[in-house]
Amino acid sequence: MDDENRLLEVDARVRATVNPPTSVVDRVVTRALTDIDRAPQHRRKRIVVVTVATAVLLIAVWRGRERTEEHAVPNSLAITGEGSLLVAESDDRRRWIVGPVAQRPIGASYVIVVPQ
Amino acid sequence: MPAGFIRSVELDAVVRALAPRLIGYALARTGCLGTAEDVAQDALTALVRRWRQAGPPESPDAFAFAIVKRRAGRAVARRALMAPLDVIRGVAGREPSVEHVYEHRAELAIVRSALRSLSRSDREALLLRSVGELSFEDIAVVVGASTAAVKMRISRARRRLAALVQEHSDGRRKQTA
Repeated sequence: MDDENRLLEVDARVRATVNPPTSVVDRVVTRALTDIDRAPQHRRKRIVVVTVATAVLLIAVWRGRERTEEHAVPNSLAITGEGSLLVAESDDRRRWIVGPVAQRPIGASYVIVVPQ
Repeated sequence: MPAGFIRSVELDAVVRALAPRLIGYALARTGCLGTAEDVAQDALTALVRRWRQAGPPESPDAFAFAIVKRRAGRAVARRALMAPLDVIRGVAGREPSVEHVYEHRAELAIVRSALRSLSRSDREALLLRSVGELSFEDIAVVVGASTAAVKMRISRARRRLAALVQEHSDGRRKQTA
């Protein structure tokens, strides 16, 4: 019996601890019965924020990629040939020279200096 | 008397009876009265909307407590994530001073600390019973278990909580002495 009372006492203690103030209860009841559109408005606002953030992110990613591609590939190249060399020049004045691999000189690659 | 009026009066009574229990349950779960109020508000608003659009749910208690249970869980997780930001923004400082509500806070801290020592399923069932005052059948619906399992969890949780509350109270008394 004592044990049973002790258990019920714990129940009551828990309940008393979390017993909300009357003012809070009244406020919640009044809002629930009158301000029905509160939750959807919150939700709508959240959806708008998420949509805008996603759109901004997508645009930023798209612009970033576009810029990277611009740097990687020039719009046009002017290619001219001079002898065995090929010169490619882009709009932004960058040049690439393409030609055969230079042959290494055959023989010794040193000089003997003799004093006079 | 028109049926719509009777229904409206009935809804009013259900909301008034549910509100303190929902707030109390959410407070026990979150430990913050402001969050508990928001969570209970959402659940009651959902219940009122459902009632007015499609009639009362089979069990208004189970309907509202299922929402509060879910939202309280999310609120706890969100608060854990946002706590550092709240400190920076100074939101945490807006709550009433600890001195003002010290006794209540101390008691709440003891009970919450003891509750946290229980397993999640036991704690859930016990809170829905002792604070939410739900029937065993409704608790079974909310937690998704059989009525027998719910009864067993509550009995086990009560015994363990009684011992834990005693332990925590003794510990606090020793600290204060």
